[in-house]
Amino acid sequence: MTDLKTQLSEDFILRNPLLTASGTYGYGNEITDLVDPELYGGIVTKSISLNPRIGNPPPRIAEVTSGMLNSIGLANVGVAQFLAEKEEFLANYRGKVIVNVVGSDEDEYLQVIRKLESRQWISAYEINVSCPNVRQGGIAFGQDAQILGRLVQKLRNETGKFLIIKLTPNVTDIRIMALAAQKNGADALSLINTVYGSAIDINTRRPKISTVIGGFSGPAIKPIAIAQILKTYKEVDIPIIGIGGISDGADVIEFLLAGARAVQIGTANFYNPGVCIEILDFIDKYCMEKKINCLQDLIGQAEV
Amino acid sequence: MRYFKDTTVLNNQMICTDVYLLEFAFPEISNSVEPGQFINIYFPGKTQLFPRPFSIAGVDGEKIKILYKKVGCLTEIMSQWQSGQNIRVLGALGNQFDIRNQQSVLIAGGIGLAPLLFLNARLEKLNYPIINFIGALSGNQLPLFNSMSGKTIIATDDGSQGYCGNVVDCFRQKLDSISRPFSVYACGPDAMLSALWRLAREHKFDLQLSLEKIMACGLGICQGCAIPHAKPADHPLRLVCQDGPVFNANELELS
Repeated sequence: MTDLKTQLSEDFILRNPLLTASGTYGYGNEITDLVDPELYGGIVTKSISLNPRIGNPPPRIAEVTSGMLNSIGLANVGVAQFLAEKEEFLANYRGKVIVNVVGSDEDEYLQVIRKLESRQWISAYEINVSCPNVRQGGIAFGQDAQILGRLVQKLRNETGKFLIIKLTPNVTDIRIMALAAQKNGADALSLINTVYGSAIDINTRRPKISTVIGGFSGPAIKPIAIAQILKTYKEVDIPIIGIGGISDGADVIEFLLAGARAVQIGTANFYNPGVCIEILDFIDKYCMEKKINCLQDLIGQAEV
Repeated sequence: MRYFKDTTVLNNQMICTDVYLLEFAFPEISNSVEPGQFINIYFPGKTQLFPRPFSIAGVDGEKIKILYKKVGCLTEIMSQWQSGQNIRVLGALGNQFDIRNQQSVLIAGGIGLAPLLFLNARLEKLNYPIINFIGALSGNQLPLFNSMSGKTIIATDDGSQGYCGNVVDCFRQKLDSISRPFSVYACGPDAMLSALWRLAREHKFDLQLSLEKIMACGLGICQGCAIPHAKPADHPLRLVCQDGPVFNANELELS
């Protein structure tokens, strides 16, 4: 058996490198009848804000070639209801629980974290500074290195937990954001969040999603993610969690080779409830065939 | 319970122009599935990602039947499936029609007939009168209505069969002659459902509508199929996949 463990820090070790991407697996217990959460190394929750958010008006999604557009708008139950309803399940989960946190200003991010900090079952926060679908917050923090740096510093002062910053590809140079996060105390980076995208119905002449421009995800964005990871991997010392269009085991291997220490499965959770088990099967066969004893040995081994 | 599984096509035949009846084995749900529920069909390939949701049109032993219309690339692929073809399905999904113990009026627009065929078969077992209003573009696009119990009234847009005009106008003309109380169950295009919704408000009859929206997952996870609730202060948004696809008219705002 190949050792699938992946180490993101001295004490942050995943049993395997597969995580659910935020917003594609609910809060963790909604589809356990179809997808066993214990197959994953960890769960990244839906983005949690201080108060409930209903999200954007419909239509919120559209199918485009090899991908999808979404403009959900961070619909979530808010931190209080999240704890009241999901704590029991998540506290008993054997993988790592990573809570994705969003805010419309610095203070909201900090307030959410203060409400979560005492929970031992939360291993890490993933900070969403990259949602393209809300006017305030989200991406506003991820497109300006100074604003991002200040937010990361304040979060760092607030928490002893593993701190992951989720970056947007919708910037001129993602390395500047990555370095700002690293310099101010981030433990890891997730990249990439969705890419700006839009589509127009040629019969009605209306945009296919209500916010006109939304987040583009799915297999079509994988080369964008690979490029951003290759670039960032050379510049930073902290681990990278790769996201962007992963749909099978071969994609996971590719992300590891590019420099990701772990990966997140996003859109594929929607269109293939069997994706995690298929990936694990593939990795097992691939490692046997290539005589790889330890999956971690692949990280950053692309010959570029 | 929801099951995600590979199964086999048992039968797939064209019923009338571009409309097909697909049958496959799904014993895990065939005994428990209710009219109004749907299944997802998954397609290999990474060009069009989303599974496609289909209302269940009937059950027969261990078999599930769905009725579909060839409208795009994926239904084109489906139309070529032969018996023995392996397919990947997930079900049963969504809620069900709330069957009332009184006279039933079923109103179908086009391929919206699918869930009403299953409902009609279920209503047959109750001893209340059934009236079916079946709307189609043309007389050559009327599938399977002969098998339905109760009285059936046809409306075609081109007048080639039955009432000439849309099915809601046809129903409106008969409305006063239908003895009350009755419940209306409907499925069809958005414009038809909106017209019925307005009519129900005006004439105060009980109405349940089965809706269709684009879904990435069908499981309540992607939240893409959200629709506004009639009373947004109480219920901000509903998900068609999970809270529906069947809604009582007073839960909706379709004006």
